[in-house]
Amino acid sequence: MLKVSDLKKSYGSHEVLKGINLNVATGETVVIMGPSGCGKSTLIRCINRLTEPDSGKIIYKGIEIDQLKEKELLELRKNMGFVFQNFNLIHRLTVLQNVMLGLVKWGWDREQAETRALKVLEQVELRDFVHARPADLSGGQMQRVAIARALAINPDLMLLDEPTASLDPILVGEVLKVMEELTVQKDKSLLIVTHEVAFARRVANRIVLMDQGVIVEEGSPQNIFENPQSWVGRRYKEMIEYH
Amino acid sequence: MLYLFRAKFRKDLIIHLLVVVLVGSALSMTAGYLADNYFGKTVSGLIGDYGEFDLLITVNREVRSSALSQIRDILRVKLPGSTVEQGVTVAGKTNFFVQLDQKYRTREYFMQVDNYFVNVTGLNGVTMMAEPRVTIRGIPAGLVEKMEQDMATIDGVKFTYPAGSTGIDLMLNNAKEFNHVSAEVDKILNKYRVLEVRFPIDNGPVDAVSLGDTLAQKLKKEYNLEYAENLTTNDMGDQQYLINTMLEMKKFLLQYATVISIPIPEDSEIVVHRDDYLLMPGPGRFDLQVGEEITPMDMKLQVIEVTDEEIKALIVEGNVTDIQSNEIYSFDEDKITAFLGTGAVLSPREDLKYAADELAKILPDLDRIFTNLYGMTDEAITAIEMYSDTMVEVEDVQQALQEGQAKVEEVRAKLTEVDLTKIQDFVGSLLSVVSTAEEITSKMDWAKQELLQIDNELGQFQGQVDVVKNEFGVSETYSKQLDNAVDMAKDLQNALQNNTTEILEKISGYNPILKNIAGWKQDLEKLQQMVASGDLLSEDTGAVTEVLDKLITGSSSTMEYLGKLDDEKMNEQIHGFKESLEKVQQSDVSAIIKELEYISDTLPGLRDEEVTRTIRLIENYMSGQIIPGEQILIMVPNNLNISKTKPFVMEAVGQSTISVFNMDAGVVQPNVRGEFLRIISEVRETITALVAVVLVMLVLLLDLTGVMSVIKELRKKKNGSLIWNLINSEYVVGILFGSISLEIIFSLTNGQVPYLDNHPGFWIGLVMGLIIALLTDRINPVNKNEYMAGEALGFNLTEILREIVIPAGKPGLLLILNRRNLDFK
Ligand SMILES: Nc1ncnc2c1ncn2[C@@H]1O[C@H](COP(=O)(O)OP(=O)(O)OP(=O)(O)O)[C@@H](O)[C@H]1O
Ligand SMILES: [Mg+2]
Repeated sequence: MLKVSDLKKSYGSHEVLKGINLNVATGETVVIMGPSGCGKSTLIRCINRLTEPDSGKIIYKGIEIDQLKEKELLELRKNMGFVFQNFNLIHRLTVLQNVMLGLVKWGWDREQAETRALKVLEQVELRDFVHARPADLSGGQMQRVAIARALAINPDLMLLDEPTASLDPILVGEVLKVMEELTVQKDKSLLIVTHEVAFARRVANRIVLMDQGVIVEEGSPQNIFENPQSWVGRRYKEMIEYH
Repeated sequence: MLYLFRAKFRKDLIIHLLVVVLVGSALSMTAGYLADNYFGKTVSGLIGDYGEFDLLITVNREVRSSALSQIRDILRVKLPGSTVEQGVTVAGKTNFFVQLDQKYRTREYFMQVDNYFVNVTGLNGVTMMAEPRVTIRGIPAGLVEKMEQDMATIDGVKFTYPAGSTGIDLMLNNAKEFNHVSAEVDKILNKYRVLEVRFPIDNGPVDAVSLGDTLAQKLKKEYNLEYAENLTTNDMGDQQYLINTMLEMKKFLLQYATVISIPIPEDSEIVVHRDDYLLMPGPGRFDLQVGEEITPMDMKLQVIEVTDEEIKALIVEGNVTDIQSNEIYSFDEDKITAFLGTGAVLSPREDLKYAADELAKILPDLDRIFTNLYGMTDEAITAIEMYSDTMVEVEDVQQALQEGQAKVEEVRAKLTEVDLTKIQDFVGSLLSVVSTAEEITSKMDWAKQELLQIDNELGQFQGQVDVVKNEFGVSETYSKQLDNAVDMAKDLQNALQNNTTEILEKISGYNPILKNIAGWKQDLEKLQQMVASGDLLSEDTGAVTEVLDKLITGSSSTMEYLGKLDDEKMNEQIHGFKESLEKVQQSDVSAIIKELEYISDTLPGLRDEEVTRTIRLIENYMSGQIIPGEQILIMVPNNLNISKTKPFVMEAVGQSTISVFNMDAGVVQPNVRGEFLRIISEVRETITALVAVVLVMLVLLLDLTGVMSVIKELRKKKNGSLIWNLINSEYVVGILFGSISLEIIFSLTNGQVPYLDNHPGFWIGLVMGLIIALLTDRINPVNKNEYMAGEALGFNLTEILREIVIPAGKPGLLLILNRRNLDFK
């Protein structure tokens, strides 16, 4: 359902993505891993064009995203949930309003939007915090609000860029738990960038390893972590064994 | 930037701009109005509203209420319908504002209306303050009339009137015409230039007007001028007249003042400068010692001149009559510091007063002297007649004596025969003649002394009057009076001199005769005694002979002298003297005395300190005054290069010591009141502008920084070409918003900024917008996370701005306006 081919992106003379080819099937959970600075964020942002790619094709449900006009692109983004490393909540709004905002903007009526928002908030176990402000929440809670916000419109593809990277380690679990529940949903495709090796092993249908703007290895968690082919893969294997 | 115009958000921006402009204009205008109101009130309290009043009458504060009622009376009687209002009192002067009735706002009234008020008590001045008015000054007197005619035809001029001898005022229909009329006036003035030829003070032309005519003709011919008109007039300018008067006044006062000169000893070490103060003992002060404190009684002098030999000083405190003694001291603060020397006091007016007083004292005696002299002449005439009568008898006696001399013995015998009674009678009458002559002589001698003194006094008086008259420059009436007195004194002196001298000489000529006669008388008395006692017949012939000898020699020498006397001529002369005495007595001595008393009374009218102060005042005034000499003025077209004509003009007037100047034919004077009001409106405009600038600045800071930060982010993300980047930059947003909003506010509120004439709003707004755009990130950085969340949710720019950026931004007008767009307030 998502097919990225020969995607390239440079910042000035620095080529960050050097021709990425990637497929995500419906209901599949793909985890992207790789050392810092290898271009994971750039890749995932290029998919909904939060970052403009230089060249290559991005085809989502038959739509050439890279060709879309601004208006169509905005329309398309409504069908893709994006979760940021730093939650990116709107601070002036309450938890509920943060989740409702997109819905209301997309034309939902308020009651429906609220019902829906409450539902997804329940899903992320934040029913009791609907009227709190982001500033009053813990990092884990904030990231769960962000996930709820992305979930609210029931997107077919969710893009999660290191959702736990900014969290206190003891809060990571609650977020991973919510994410794990998402992967169970068979109608949703998930593209997750993370360094959580254990999590990746457990939930990923496929793991993609990147290094310096290219995909160096790709395959099932078992293959990758037990018999890594790449330097990156071997480093992850070492990590697991170390634990 | 283009994003904004593509997005729905442009509506928000336009509404915002409109609100900014409206609110900004309203606030700026309110500020301007408040300023205007405040200043305007202050000003109209001082000088009335623009064009409200026509005349400003200033009077001394003390008499303001009576002045006001007088002004009211004048208005009621002469200018009915006009009103007066009392204005503020400043520095002891109260201002009254007069509003003339409409029908008196005409040339005829404006030319003379100030004269109506000349008799108002305590009047300081009447000033024209009618507005709107253009004031032109410095027009050559000969050109005023022509200029006024020209200017009266300018569009927008209601009427004109001459103001003084070198000015014209133009009353306008409307204040808006001011600039237009000023420009037209300038045009007229610029058509002409005035060539001014100035002569040195002491070397001017005899007839400047006709020389001007000649020069004008020559100039016209030489330079082929369209016209060259002689504007030279004979009237001395007010200024020059004043200066001349002042100079005369100073000269007079300097002569009038008491000058004290102090010789400087050769070895003196004391240094005295011009303007230093010195001290002289005043009333009740004497024996001053160095180091002694000075008192208010002491007299202060100020040095006017220092030469190698002497110091000259004037009295600045005290009067010449206060001088006790002539020691001069120097002093500082309050102590005498040194003895300078003994000064000589030269006080011409005191000297004259003294002479007049002395003369006045002596003149009443003149009458008595004349009466005496008159009597004497009678006596003299009688004596002379008597003398003629007795002359024959004298001859008889002489003969008898001569005869007897020859034969003394005989005579001795004969003597008894001689009729002694006859001789006795003769000697008796001769003696009475002699004693009368003696008496006359001594009387004449006294009269001679008296007359000599009067003659001396008269001469001195005339001399003093001459000093006073020539050097003081006294008033005309006073001068006439002095002349009268001098004339009379002169007549009197002449009369006395002409007649007395000769008489006195003659009388003096009697002296040897009188001596002889006196000796002869003694001898005769002796002889008579001898005759009476019979000694003549006694044995002692020796004594008799001696007496006889003496009598005979004496008589012959007496005869000799008497023979020489021309009694007829003398008689005549004495008669002539008598006549001239009669004439002299006719001159009105009492009138002369009256004159003298008047002179004596009026002379010391001013004290020295007052005289000196006045001299100093005049000097102060004169310093800085240029004393102009004669001048010739010629009006020429403005295309003549006047500075190059000098050699020609020098030749034409036949003098090289001239200066040639290029003068304006007049200048439009800044209308001080109008200027003032204009400044106030400028202040209002500036305040309005400042408020608008501050408001737009605030709007840029609070409202637009968020928008600009978003634009900046978008631009950076797009990574487009330079031009694309420029067009889509936050700078364009700042510049456009700043310049447009401020320009519109300025044009709506009439805001003005000093020194920026061309669309100040536009330029200031532009610069402010640019600066704020440059600093936008620092002032109002956009929260990229929130912004990105919006993007990820598929929000367009408008939605991101309205829902995310603006609500999170600084509290401003945009935030308020945006509230209605919020889904979640
Ligand atoms: N806006 C940008 N301008 C210039 N260089 C950028 C920009 N964003 C990313 N880069 C560079 O591109 C490279 C890839 O960055 P990216 O954020 O995709 O890496 P990453 O794999 O997500 O790293 P991390 O694990 O630290 O998140 C880095 O070297 C980064 O410095
Ligand atoms: Mg990253």
